[in-house]
Amino acid sequence: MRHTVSCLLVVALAAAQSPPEYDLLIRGGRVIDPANSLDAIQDVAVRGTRIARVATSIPAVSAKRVVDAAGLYVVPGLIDLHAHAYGTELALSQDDTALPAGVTTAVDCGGAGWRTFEDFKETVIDRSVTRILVFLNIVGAGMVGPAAEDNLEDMDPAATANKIKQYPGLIVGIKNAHFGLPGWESVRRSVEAGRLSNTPVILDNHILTKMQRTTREKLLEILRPGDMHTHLYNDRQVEVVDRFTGKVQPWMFEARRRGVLFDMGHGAGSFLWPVASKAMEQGFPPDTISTDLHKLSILGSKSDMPNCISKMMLLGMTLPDAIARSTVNPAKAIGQFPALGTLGEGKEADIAVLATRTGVFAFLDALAKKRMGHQKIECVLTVRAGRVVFDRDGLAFPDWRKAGDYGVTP
Amino acid sequence: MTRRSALKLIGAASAAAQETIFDLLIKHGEVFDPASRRRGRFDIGITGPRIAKIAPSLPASRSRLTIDAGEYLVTPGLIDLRVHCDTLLSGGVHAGHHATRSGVTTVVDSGSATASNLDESYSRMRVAAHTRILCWLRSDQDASVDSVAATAAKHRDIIAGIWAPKAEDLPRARTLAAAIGKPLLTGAPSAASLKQGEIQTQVFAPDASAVDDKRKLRPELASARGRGVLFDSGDLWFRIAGPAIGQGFLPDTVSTNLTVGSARLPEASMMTTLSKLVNLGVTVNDALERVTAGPARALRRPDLGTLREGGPADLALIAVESERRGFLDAGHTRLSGGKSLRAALTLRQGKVVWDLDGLVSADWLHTGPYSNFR
Repeated sequence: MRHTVSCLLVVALAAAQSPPEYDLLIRGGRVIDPANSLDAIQDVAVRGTRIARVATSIPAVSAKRVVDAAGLYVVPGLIDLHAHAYGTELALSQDDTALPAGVTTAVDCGGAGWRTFEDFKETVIDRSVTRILVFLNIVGAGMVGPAAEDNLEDMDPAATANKIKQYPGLIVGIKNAHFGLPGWESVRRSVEAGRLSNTPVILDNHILTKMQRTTREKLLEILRPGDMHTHLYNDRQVEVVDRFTGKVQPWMFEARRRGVLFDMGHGAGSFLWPVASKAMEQGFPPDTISTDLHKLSILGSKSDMPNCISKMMLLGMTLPDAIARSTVNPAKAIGQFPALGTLGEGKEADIAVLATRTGVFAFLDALAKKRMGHQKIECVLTVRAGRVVFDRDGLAFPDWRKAGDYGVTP
Repeated sequence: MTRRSALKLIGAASAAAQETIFDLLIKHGEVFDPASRRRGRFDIGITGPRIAKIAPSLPASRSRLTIDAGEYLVTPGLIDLRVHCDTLLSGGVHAGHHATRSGVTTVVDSGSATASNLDESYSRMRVAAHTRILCWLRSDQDASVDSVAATAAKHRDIIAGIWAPKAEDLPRARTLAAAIGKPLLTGAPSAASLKQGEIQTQVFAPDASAVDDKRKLRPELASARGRGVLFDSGDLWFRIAGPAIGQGFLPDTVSTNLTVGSARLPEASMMTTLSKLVNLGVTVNDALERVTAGPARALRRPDLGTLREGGPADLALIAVESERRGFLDAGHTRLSGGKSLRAALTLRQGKVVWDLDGLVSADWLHTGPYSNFR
């Protein structure tokens, strides 16, 4: 008996002394992983750069570092489908503004064209901690101002498609923005590039009634299923809500039935309370929640991903639904699911830990009109490829009084 | 109406017309302006880019827009003595984002530019900045003293002084600082050799730590302070700041040393940095003095960091809130705290550049129909 006990002790000690199985354990949070229909209190264990296990009770001793996420939400790293990281002087460093917002994948929306993509890759993408994916502008020079954006001669479907095929999984689609001439040629060429490269198109074009362009025609006749239109909730682009009757346009429902996707793209002009409220009342949410964050829109309405999610919740969307539209939906829209947008075991460990704050908050739309709300979603911790890259409250680190000498805790 | 009473009325009307009409009136705020020693409840009337009037009570009828600041501290726009905001350089942050959300209306870039590339570097920093940007010019061994002096003369208002990254840069930096008549800032541990008006930063980091290995305050700090040397915080390590503050040492200025890295880990934005200090035992007023009057003095810019009639309408409305949460430091350790500072409104030259609580924003239901259809 005594012998057995000591044997067991030896085994237990050996087990205790072997290095912990996991590098990081996020314990006790409410895990929302819509792709796996998971919404429950679970633990998430990370080994190296990957998610090793998602289960109900993983012992704290099995990990080198433990984050107590009780009372918090643990969700897949958010995907911002409409970001600006290159090509315009208003572009932002994603490591500066995306990671603290829980965004681990930012899709640059048309900053570069096929002629400037390599520069973008070398100077920004390859140096970013944030995963940056790309909608390539149909304009070869990229998003460098109105003259370039109206220059049909620089919209080459074949060259654009060739560049996309050269970088599969990095360039995920085609952007056409701000085309200011009559007709549909820029959209046709974008769709042609999409057909040649088998990738989706995302549009950002104004209604120009004087130029024989209407929304109906564009959405129903030219866009393919899986193509997207961003800036859903302004009223000068897709005109989701008829500005005279207040009704969601019938062609919007028809386009959605055909598989055309609508992206939020908040930005500095594209989220208006009257439009968003009427659309949501009539059952027209965005398929994907995104920010269109740039140096200006980040100031006025503070519209980072948690802010956009909070605004959709104020309009009646549930948190799990908003998370789906910020993770799995955008991953699917750019053909990156299931590699991205879910917390499945074996997936790259991109994780956001979010909190709900209650109180009285002002939420400003793109024209700085406020709507008061009583709950706000905030990002408290971000993990990118297994590394803690943002930790507002120091959840993953030791107390300063017990931290020993001056070494930086890794 | 008699002719006489009509004349009286006209006279009263013209007197009223001579009174300034404010664009914005900030009422009932708890004003804290250490440079002018103004404390207490005051109303502040703002016209265009300037402060028109500060008085115990100003009528709302004189203003186009009035906000009730009863729940807030009203301070001069804060000054962050040390950030990195040339976005072309790795680590450079978007100054506008980080300054405005923290009530900061003046940031000083720390050595991104030398005298020879100031123009191009500054033009990048300014994009959508919505904040005043000054520059510590990096000490440059190659440029002649005359050329640095010429650059300084051309850009007098935006040059803060000279930044000496390393101890060996100090003699050269001192020459340049003397040539342009501006202060010197260094991160190299050199308290023992610095002179009056020169600034030692990083005193709460191991680089130029205020405490020794036994966490005792270094004696040379007191003698340096006696000579008029100034101290700035920079990167914040609780293991240094905690014991230093406990032994009665506070730096003259508090800066963030903000980079893309430090903005994430340890979230070194100005409001968070001040909150950390408050949770280490610094009073809110002591902390705020070190980001207003303190840096204005260090920069020898008495026009900044204070509220005065005729001065720029650079202001912050700050809420001090009770909240249990953790904070992270540059050494990656956690401090549990119960107080947080939050910037609710930032005004730069009379313009609202940050309105977290929607104080000046109209409620969407009361604005009537609005649209961006063109």
